[in-house]
Amino acid sequence: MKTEKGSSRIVESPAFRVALLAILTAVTAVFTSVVKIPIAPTKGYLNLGDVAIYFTAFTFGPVSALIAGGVGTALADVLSPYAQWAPISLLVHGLQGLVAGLIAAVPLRSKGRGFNLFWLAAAAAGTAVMCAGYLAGGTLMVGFGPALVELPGNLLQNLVGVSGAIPLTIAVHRAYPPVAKLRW
Amino acid sequence: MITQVYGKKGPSAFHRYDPRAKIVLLLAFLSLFFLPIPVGRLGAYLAVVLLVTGVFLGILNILRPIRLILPILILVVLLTPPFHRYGPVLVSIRGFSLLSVPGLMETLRLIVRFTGITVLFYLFLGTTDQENLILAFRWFGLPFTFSLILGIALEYIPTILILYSQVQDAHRLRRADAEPVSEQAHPAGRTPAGGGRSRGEAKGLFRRLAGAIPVLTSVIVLSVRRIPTLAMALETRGVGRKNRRGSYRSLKSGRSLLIDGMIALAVVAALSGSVVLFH
Repeated sequence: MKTEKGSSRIVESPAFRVALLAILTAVTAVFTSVVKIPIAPTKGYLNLGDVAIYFTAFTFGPVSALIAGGVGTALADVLSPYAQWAPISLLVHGLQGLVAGLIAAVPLRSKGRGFNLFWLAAAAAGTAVMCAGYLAGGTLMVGFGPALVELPGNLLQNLVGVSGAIPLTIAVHRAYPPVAKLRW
Repeated sequence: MITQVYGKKGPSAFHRYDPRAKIVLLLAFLSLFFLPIPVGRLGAYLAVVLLVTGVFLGILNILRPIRLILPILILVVLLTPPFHRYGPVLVSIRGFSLLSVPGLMETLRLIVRFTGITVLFYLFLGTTDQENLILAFRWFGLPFTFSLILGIALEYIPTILILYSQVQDAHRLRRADAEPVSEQAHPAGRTPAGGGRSRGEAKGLFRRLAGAIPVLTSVIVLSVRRIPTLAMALETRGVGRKNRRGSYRSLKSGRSLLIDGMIALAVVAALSGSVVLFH
C-alpha cells in the first residue's frame, strides 16, 4: 500500500502500534459486551463483536485483527459473568481476525476504501474458523450436543458481523480518510 | 452491560493471596476437570471449589454463577444422552433408548466440569484486582508491550462506553429534530444498538443493524482520533526505547510470596496425589 513517508513512519512507531491496538481492543470489547441487537423471536441478543473484528481486519490488517479480536472478546467475557469462555474466545476470535485480515489484504488496494470480493472471502473464512473453533471448544466444555445447538446462532452472528462490517468500513473510510494509512 | 467483576481489596485471606499462586491453582483445578477420572471424584473436587468460594466470597456467591449458567446446564441434560445411547439402558420408550448409563455419566461429568470451571473463574476474578492480575501475567512472562495493551484497553473501555452513550444520544436528538411534529407526539421506540426508529417501528434485524451503522461509525472515528494523542503520551513515557524499564508497582516478594507459593504447590501436590493414588 502506498503511503506518504511521514505516515508510514508513524505506523512503524512502537508507541503508535501499542496505542492503536489498545484502542481497537477496547472498541471490540465494547462492541461485544454493550452494543447489542435484539432478536424478537427468541428475545435474545446478537452482539456486534464480529462487526468490530471484521472491520479491524478489513481496515487495519491481520495483526491488528488478531490482537484486537482475540484480546477484545476475551476481555468482554472476563468483564461479563461468562469468564469461563475467555480462553476460547481469545483463541477463536484471534484466529478469526487473523485469517480474515490475511485474505482481505490480498488485493492490497492503495486507498483501502473500496469494497472487493476478497472481503467476502475473508468473512467466509473467518466464519468457518469461528464456528469450527466454538464447536470444538464448546464440545470440550459442555459436550457436542449443546455446542451443536449454538452453531446456527454463531452463523447468524457472523452474518450480522459481515453485514455490518462492510458498510461500516466504507463509512469510516469516507468519514475519516486518514484511517487508510493506519494499516500495518 | 459490562459489569466490573474484579474483586476489590476484600477482607478475606484469599483476596490477599498472591495472584501468581492463584493462577497456578486455577490452572491445576482447570486441568483436573478435564482428566478422565471417575465422576464421583470430580464431584468431590467441585465440592472443594464450592466450599472455598462459599468461605471466601459468601454462600450467595456460590449460587450466583450457577444461576447464570443454568440454561446451559439444562441444554447439557437434554442434549448429551442422545449422543451416548450405547451401553446399559436406564430409560427407554418402545425400545428406543432415551438414557443409558454412559449417557448419564457423561451428562454428570459435563455438568460438574462446566460448573467447576465457571465457579473457578468466578472465584479467581472475584478475589483478584485488575492491576495485580496484569502484574502476575507479566511475572509469568507476558511481554511488556502486551501487558501495556491490556492495561490501556481496560482503562479505555469505560471511556468508549461513555462515548457510545453520548453518540447514541446525539443521533437520537438529531432524528428527533428531523421528525415532523405529529411523529414527535408519539415517539418511536429505541433499540439498544442506538438504531432509532424514525417512522414507525424498525422491523427486521438487518434494518436495525443499518440503523446502528451511523452510531458505530461515529464511535470508531472518535476512538481512532484518540490514537495519536495516546501514542504521544506513550512515547513520552518511553515506550519503544531500548533502555531498562522501571516499574511503578510490583507484586510482593520475599517471605509472603514463599508462603503463598508453598501453599499452592502443596495443594497441587495433594491434587496430583489424589488423582494418582485413587486411579
